[in-house]
Amino acid sequence: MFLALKEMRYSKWRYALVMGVIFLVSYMVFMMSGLATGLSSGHKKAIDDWNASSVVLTEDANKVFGASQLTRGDLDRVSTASSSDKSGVGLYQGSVTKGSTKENISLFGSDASAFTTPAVTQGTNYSGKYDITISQNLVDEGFAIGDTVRIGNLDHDLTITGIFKSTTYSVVPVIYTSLDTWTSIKYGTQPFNEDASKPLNAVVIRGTSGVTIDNSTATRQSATAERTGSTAKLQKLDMATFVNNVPGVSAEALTFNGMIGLLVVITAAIVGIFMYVITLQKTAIFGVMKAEGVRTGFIARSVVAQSFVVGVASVAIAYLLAWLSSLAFPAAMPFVADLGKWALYGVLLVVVTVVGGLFSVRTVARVDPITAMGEE
Amino acid sequence: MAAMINAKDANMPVLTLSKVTKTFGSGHTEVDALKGVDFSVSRGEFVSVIGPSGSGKSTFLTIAGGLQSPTSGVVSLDGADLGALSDAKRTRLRFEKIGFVLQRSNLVPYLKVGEQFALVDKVAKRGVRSSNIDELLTSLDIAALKDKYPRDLSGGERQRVAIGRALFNDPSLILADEPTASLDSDHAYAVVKLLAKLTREQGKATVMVTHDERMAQWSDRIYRMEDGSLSVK
Repeated sequence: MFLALKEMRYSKWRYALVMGVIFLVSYMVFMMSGLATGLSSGHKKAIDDWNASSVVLTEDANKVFGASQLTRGDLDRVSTASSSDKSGVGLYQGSVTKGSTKENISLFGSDASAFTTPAVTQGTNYSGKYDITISQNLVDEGFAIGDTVRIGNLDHDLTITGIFKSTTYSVVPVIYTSLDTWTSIKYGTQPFNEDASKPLNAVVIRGTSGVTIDNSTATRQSATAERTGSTAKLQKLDMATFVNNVPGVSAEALTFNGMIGLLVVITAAIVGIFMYVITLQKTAIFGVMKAEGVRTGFIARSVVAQSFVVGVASVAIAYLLAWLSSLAFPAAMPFVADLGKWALYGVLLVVVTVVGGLFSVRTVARVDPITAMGEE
Repeated sequence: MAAMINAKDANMPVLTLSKVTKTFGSGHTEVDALKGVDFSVSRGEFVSVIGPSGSGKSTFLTIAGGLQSPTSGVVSLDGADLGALSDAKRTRLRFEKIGFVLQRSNLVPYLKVGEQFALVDKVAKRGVRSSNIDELLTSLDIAALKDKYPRDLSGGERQRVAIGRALFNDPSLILADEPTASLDSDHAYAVVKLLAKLTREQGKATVMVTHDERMAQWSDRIYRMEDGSLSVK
């Protein structure tokens, strides 16, 4: 450590350069991670807000929320510890119009009293047939409590009665309404024989105890089976699987993780090359030190300590600056500073800088002390 | 252990080489760098080895310093047979018993003068002996240089610091490899005189290799190296 720090003090600019490069790469890693988390959150935040433990879809939906079609009657095929631990949810994706203002939205149908329905922060929850609540980020687009709006093909005004905290699904703001209103919005005036045959997209479950699915009445055994009048097979998904199958989420995660992984490897290479070049320039003095009886381990440790110090310092600065930058970003930017994940990436980056430094240990070990003497 | 204690006594040789040969290469490229060298130096003795470049004097010094092994013959330092030691032990022995003063400055470029000495304590895994450093710097009249980097020192100052550092670990033997090569005559004389004076005052055994015969005038004995053979002048 002694040699490591003294040398960094002496060759400030050289090490500032190395640190600058590692800082930039780390900063980029944190930014990408923030964007990845932000984007993925934009796709599925409304789902995270449920704080659910699992979701039941029809098996033939292939784990895709929007493709799953079950009925309110199917709710009885899902048993939970308490009946309030399950909630039938419907999804409609379209737009909301107020006068000339038109916004894309994701609309969820959910019983007013169900745990999936978000608590309002202003106004009151929906209670009447044509009531809806909106997420705070729609307020920013010019919607307010008391406004009447139109959604989809429904030939009736809808009234905003309350606002819940900002959230998104498919990167657009969210509206909640009752299952009946959702059914009318999505399916128009088409008649359903009875409430039990009215559609749902999913049954959302909280808690894990006593959860069972009854597939004994399922009559639709294959994807090619007759749809009408058949009963679909149900499938329970944990939240990670369900969320991963939300369109866009896993593809984006793959892209970003690929980029982050590449940057981490690049960091190792940069540090490795820098430390190697710096070490090569010092072989003469290393030879002298070895001749004088300084152990190879002492010198090698100083090289590794140097890359460690360089790594920790630059990653820490990048961490801090990335966090400060995230505070300055506009709310509309899909960016989430997941400090825990950043810390993990930070540790990884420090580890690879040390690995980069280790490449030079062999060079140090191979310096022959005899080079210190004479010119013969 | 007994041998080591005896070696501290005056007139007991600190370093001896007997029948040392060194051969490089093999077959028709074979070169005999040293041809049966016998040599010894005792405490308080300042010995010079002079010879033209290529005569084998650097090879002699590297073997005397345990940096390479002889092809045959025995090198012993303070009673220990260097050939019988492992690399790690030889490294340790060099650190504890030999002070080096080299032709090119052997100071670490990125350490201030005071830190050059502190490094010795760090390598020895002990606390930095600040008062010892100050004392030594003062005695060599270089206390004012303590916070300077080697690049800010003159050649003469650099070699004074190098001599100081060679002495700092209280070695038995000092090996000086062309210590005056980069100096003008006046500074060169001053450096050799200092080395000779400290050798006698502190009871070190010093071997200086040089191609400059004028530098040998303060020596107790002068050897001449020629084509790998060492003879007393």
